[in-house]
Amino acid sequence: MVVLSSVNFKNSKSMRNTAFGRKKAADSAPEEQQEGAKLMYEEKKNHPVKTALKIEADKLVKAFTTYPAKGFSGSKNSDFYEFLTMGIAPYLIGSGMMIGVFNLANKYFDPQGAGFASKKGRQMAAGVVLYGLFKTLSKKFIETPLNMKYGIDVNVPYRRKVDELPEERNRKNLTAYQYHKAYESVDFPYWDLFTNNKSFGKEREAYFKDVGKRMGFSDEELKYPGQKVKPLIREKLVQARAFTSLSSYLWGAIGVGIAMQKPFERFRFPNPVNGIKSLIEFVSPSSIKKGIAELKSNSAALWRTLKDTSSKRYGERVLGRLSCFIPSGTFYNATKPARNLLSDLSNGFKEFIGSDKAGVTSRIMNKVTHKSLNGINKPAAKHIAGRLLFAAAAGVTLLGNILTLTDFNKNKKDGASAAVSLIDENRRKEVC
Amino acid sequence: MPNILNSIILNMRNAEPSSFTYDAKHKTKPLKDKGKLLPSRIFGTPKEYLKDIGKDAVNIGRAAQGKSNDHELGRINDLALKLGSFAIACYLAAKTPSKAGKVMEFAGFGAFFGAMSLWPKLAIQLPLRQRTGADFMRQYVDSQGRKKTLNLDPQYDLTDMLSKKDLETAGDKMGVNKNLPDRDNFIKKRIRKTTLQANTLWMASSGFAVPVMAALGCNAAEKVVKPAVQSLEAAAARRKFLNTKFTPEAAQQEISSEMKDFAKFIEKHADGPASKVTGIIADRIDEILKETHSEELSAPMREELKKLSEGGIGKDSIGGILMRAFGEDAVSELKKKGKYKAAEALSGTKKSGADKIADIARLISGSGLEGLDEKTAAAKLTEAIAPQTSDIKGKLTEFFGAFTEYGRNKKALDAFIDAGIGEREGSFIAAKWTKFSQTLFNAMGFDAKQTKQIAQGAEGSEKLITAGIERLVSSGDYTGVIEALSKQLNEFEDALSSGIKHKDGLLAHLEQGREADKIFGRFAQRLQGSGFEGLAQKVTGALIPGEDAKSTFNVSARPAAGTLYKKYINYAEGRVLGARASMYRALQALDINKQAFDGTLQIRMEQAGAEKGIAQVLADIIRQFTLKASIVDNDGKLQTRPFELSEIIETADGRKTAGQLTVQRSLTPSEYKLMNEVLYGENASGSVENIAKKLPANEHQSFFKRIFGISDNTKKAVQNTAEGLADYRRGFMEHIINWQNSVTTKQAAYHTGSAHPDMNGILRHNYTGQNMLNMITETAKSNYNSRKWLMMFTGIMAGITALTLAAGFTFGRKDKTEEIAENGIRRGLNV
Repeated sequence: MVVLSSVNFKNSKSMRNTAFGRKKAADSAPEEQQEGAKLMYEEKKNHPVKTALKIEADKLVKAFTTYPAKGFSGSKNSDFYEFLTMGIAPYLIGSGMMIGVFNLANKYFDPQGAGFASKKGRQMAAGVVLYGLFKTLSKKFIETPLNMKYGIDVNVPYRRKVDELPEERNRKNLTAYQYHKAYESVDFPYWDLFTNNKSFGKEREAYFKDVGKRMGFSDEELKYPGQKVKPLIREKLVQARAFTSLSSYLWGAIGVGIAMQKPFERFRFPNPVNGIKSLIEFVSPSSIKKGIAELKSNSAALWRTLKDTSSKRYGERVLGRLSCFIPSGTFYNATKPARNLLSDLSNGFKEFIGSDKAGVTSRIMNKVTHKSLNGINKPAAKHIAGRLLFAAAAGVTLLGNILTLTDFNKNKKDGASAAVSLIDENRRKEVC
Repeated sequence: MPNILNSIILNMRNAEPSSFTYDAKHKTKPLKDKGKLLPSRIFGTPKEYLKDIGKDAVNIGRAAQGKSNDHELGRINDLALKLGSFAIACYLAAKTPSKAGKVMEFAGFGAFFGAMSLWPKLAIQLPLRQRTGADFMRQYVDSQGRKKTLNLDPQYDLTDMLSKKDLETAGDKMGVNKNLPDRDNFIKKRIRKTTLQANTLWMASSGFAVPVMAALGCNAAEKVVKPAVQSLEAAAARRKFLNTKFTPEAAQQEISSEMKDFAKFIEKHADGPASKVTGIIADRIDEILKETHSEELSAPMREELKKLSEGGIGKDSIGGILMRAFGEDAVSELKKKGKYKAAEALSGTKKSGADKIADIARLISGSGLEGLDEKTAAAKLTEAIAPQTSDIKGKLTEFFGAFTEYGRNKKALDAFIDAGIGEREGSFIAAKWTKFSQTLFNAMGFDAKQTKQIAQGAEGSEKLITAGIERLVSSGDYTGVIEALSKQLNEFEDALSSGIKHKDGLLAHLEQGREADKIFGRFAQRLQGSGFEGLAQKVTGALIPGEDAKSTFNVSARPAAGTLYKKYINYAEGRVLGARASMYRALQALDINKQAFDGTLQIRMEQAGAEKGIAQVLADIIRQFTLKASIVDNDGKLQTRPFELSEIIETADGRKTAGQLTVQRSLTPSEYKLMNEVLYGENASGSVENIAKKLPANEHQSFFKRIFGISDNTKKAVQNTAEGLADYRRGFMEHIINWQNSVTTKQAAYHTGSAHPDMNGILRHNYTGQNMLNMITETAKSNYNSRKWLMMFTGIMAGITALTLAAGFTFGRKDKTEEIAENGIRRGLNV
């Protein structure tokens, strides 16, 4: 009965509408499907950075150009994907404005006032940056283990080809591309993209079989891998999504907390102009001339050293001469901001949780001091707050890990309920 | 699958015909439509809000089981955003020292989310609904009871849910032609278009608007929240302090758990070497010292603890210990073998007691005494020093007790003092200072441009301030302003002063026999009781012999210079003195300026014998002096003699220029002579240099008394604070004017606990206070900064709002198909 109802759902056009504007090519044949929506599994696997950059750049550019233009003109081709993609605009602009609120007016203040204000302003700027950074990166804490254990990549993208309706008479190019995630909806995961996909193997449901095996099912149990595995994947998706949400904002909060520490009073955005400048300097005629002269003298010195085979510690001397060839000066300058940021981060974190050389570590090492005299060696309130926040973030992440990596429901489910994805418990009762 | 189909087919065959008839009760049927459209509105009800929170809590549970759907996950994300932001607010509140700051962190959190939800409603939804009747945030509840927005997805059209009435209203508002066939469809089309445009505008504008709106909201809230919280905080600290019982019994009760903890610790390590115990205590003590701002006791305390940790083994005691441990024979044996001297040397090293025992034990076992291996020797030695060890333990227990009591009491005192005069935003003194200087600044009526000039120290800013002061003293508001300022001063004195009139002011609690006295005195007594006399001296100072032959501290005596207690008093008195002097000084400067403006100052000069022209110059000098004289950047500026006689130089045309620092005008020798007579009285005769040398200090004083006389007018206005004013003026005279002569040692020692010249400088600094020119400049800076920020972001906010509203006006226009249809009607065609 349940199977029938789910089949029914798949054929029902009115229900499909609820996919928030995603026109899925569920009815079409596999080849057409591949053309309309293409899973970018292999691209992501082979060129993870390139693919991510390509997708994000596409979204970013369109969020500030094409999509608002379409939205403001009230285009009939606008859809929910575009609305969601535009959501990045308030995020970025808002971050900039947030930094601006604490920094823009400072230059008009008197030196003393400006000094105080800019310290705070820099911390706020660092806070905005670290919030975003921590929030984004922390999602990997849950997503990566899930992918590693079961091969369920929450973020696997697919490219959708959209055939737009003509709005102007002479518009010829009516094709648009959108970058979705196959698992962006837990109600409607785009299963079809994984079915009959050669990237995963020759078998029709190779992907589900692989996930099923990783989940510990035997071949016998995986007679119909899709039916068996899909509901479990869906469960993992829900858990991963919920707990990345819950934990990532806490990690973001930790980013803000770290930014509010002393090292970030002198935070500056790495200046791209300086980077380019130092690059230009590096390849400027005078620098090259100097470099060639240096190269010559270094080569001569190296040659002298090489010839002098009878000298003591020959190898060491040659190595020393060779190291002279490593470019210095401008080359090192370019990496300095990154080095500074890293040291600021580590110092900020130490301040955030109130650890120092003689603090937490030594107390843990010396259990007598710590245990028998608790109550007076108190950390300050801010340190306690910092530790609590850290514990909360780590705890929620860990809980997410435990939930996503453990099969609590593995044996409870049977294949029959596999295809049920949309229908709520109560609704199913009514239907059946 | 085949099985199921099979069974269905079988069932069909076997079934009774009646089972195929429609039975409304038991068979499959369409779901009942539970969904409904919610009314168009700006805010939801609180009940709904609470219900949503409850739903979210349940949602997390469902998500953990992997059962949630997209809608619920979306809600979890929103909830997580709020939780994360709340966590930020909590952390920042924990990090901010002042209560007002803590409250503001939460206000910031509220302001941000308030702005996030209000901006689209106020700037887009409301005006657009008013103009077009289309509500882009209209919500509905679907059959599963999930609340969603009607027009979020342009491809998932739910406009059909709108009632006929809604459509008609929107159509009329947007001016859809009433004669159009299928008018509703055109209206729906327009609504769809408008809502899509509104959604886009929301995304495009909120990034700009929300942070600015939140910041402006915070700024506005700060003005209300801060003063309220600050006064509450000060009152609470005071109440807590006054309710604290500073008796040892009370402290004992409160710290009993800690003491128990410590007793356990002593018990546990009773057999261990004293060095371990003292080392751990040294660790703890630093924490207490830090908490109670008594870090300077750290070094002497470590010294004392180190002495203890040596465990009573020293060059003097080693003989006795060896006797007790090994007996007379063994000792003489050791002496014979020359090991006794070595043991003595070992006991005199700087090592800890345990190490010494080990060293000596090794020495003795190596000396070949019968039956004494290293272990037994060490055990015997430990036993022999046991009396000392238990003594140490007793001492330490008492020592620790003294510290915990002191720590607990001092913390209450610190909180009270900090709320009153802490060097931080939000303390009582800071708030009063701000209020006073703002009142003064506002009374001078500077406009924005002038404020900017003064703040930036532009050329002529001094003139602007002088003009402002003149404006104030010449206006009818003068008395009112003086009264307002003096009222504030009165409050200041009430809260902070000590003395006959203000028995319960902050400083009064630091006086003899009051709370602070008890705290420090008790601490010193207990330290002395446990044998730490050196340390005790560092706390309150002098020891005097007590009745029971033992020395006790004279608690009621004034604490000696350089002690912890004295420094505490100095700090507090200095803070109050500095602020008070500046405020009184401002009053006096206003008064002198008023007198100069009215001409009474000049008349007074004339009465003293000055010619008219000279009297004018003198009045001017005095006026300048009250405004500018300062000790902050250069002692030389605050000369006791406005005309530094040694600086008189002859100009080319034979005229003498007096006191470059103060007089800008050349005087003839006769003028100069007269001025001297006015200034320094009858004694002024003979050569200029001689006069300068001969003038005794009290002449300067009388000069200042004469010229700085306060007017009856002002006196009347400041009647309430007259006592304070007189006090200030006396102090000002004595300590500033005569600083070169008398204040140096005796008085400085009294006030600062040290005759060090630097301390003298601090004292003079506090008595001088900030001059009015600086006070106004500082206030201008702070006002300019806040104004600049406010104007900048109010401007930005206004710009964003205007753009958003303007964009809203272009929304919901008819499209081509509607135009064509309208044209069709016009031409009489039925399209």
